[in-house]
Amino acid sequence: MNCPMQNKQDEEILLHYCSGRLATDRAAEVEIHAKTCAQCARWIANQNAVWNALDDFTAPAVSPEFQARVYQRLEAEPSGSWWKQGFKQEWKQKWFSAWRPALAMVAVAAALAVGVMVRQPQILQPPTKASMETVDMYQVDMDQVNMDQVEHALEDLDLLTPRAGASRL
Amino acid sequence: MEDVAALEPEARLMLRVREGDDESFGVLLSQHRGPVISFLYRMVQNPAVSEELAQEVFLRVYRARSTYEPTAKFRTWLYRIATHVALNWIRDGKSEKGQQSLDVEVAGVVIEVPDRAPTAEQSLVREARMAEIRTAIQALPERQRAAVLLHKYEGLDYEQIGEALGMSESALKSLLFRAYETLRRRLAHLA
Repeated sequence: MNCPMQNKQDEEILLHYCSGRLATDRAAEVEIHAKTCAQCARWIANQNAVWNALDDFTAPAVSPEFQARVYQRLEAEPSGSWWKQGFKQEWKQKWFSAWRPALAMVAVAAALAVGVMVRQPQILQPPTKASMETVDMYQVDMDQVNMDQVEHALEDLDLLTPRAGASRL
Repeated sequence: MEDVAALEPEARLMLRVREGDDESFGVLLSQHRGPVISFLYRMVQNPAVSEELAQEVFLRVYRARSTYEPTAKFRTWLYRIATHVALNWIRDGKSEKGQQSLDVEVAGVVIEVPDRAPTAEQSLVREARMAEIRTAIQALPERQRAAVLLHKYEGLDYEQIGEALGMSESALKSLLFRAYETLRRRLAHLA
């Protein structure tokens, strides 16, 4: 085995060895080499010292209410309870993914329609037959009103005129 | 369509969570809360903060359920979130505020003690040793710290740690060697 310390790329073998992650046959090779290489032996001793010292760095026990706190925070998520919100999100996602192609087509069609309306100039429509008849009917009524008014006015004039009134009498 | 049977158990549970099975989320929470809190505790060295950050980690896991894809191992994904949350907290400078209470909390930390009650002298030696280790870990740059903790305590391999920290395997190895080199200089005398 070549000395791992001579080749920086092989140094990871030593770290693997100290971490207990090296295959048994490779670990045996390192052990044999370390017996004859003071530099590697020192490196291994120091790394093992660190590795073992780190074992003493223990973490505190998890507080019994940790899980309940997580659920509380999920409950406090906006728009109702966390499972309802999750359901809503999933429902929205499914709905949008199912209707996305149709919605896209509707949006394109709407955009085209708006575009056509904006581009086309205003055209004056010729009056239809029905609309003309409506206008004539109103016109007739207007004529009749006028004729009656004229006749009444003339009669009034005759009465007021002495000569005309005398001849009648 | 995913081959669900071929997936690791945690990924299968997470896929069930994605389908709306909240009981599976509870199982994942029970299984991983301990290791996640321990990792965060060693990162921030404050028990109360580590639990708070762990809550945030699991909230993010739950929020991300609808987009979850089992492309990486569940633990890698989980520790990626945990590392991100811890690094953000440290970078926001909140650790400095928390550090004030650290000295007080050192005494309050629950330490696993052997069955035979240690003498007062043994306790003092142990406390001093522990404080030295904590200081050495705390002094590491945050990414080196995360790499060492994931390597030493969580048993992740280089590829997984690289993925959790968002760096290549070769960059991670270099980072890890530098970190252990620093620790060897500071802690080798504890042998």
